[in-house]
Amino acid sequence: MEEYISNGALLGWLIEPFERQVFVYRPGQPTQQVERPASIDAGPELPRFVLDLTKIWEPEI
Amino acid sequence: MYALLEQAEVAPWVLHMPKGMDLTDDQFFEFCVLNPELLRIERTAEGEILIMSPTGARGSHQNSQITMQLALWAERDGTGVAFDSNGGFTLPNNAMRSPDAAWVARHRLISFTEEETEKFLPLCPDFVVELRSRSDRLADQKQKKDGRVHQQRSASRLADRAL
Repeated sequence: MEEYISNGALLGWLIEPFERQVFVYRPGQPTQQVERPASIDAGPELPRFVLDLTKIWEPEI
Repeated sequence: MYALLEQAEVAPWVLHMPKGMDLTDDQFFEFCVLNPELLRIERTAEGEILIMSPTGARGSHQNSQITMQLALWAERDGTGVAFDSNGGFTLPNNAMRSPDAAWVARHRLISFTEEETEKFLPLCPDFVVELRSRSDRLADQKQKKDGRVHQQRSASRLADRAL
């Protein structure tokens, strides 16, 4: 994920389904670790995009 | 082929390229097209080619949830375009990566010709999502184990020198 950020990405999410964690990457900022979020907001880079993680944490299969 | 996929399940298969034999972006694209059975190919900034196993069913299903939500939002929002995990991007450092989902602002795409958009896009997406899979975890565990073996070897070499 660091590679995307250092090559110009504005926002990166690393989703870890086994631990139910999301690592949030932004240029010039330390990585933010979010524990068991029900959803995650991509703003302000992607305004009003909120990813619902319910089916990621509890997939049907 | 089966042996290769078995290996790739544990960690990406790395093809090291001799110095001076690095493929151009077009040659690399052709390499990918000529080898469709190698489903997931990436290239590091150093020019190594990584061949990864296809995702398991659960990971693929989880990924489809992410792609669907991102695509629906992008459609409503209209300022950019969403990409699924098949999309390849050639980054400024020359690596070619395929994030599990990505989004690129529309104004960055208008300069590309139709022919260019049929190949890997020469840009880094504005937004990327990576979903960790079982094989990623196995690769990490292997890397940690290899790291430990390396450390143990270094330690025993130091110990030998101390004797």
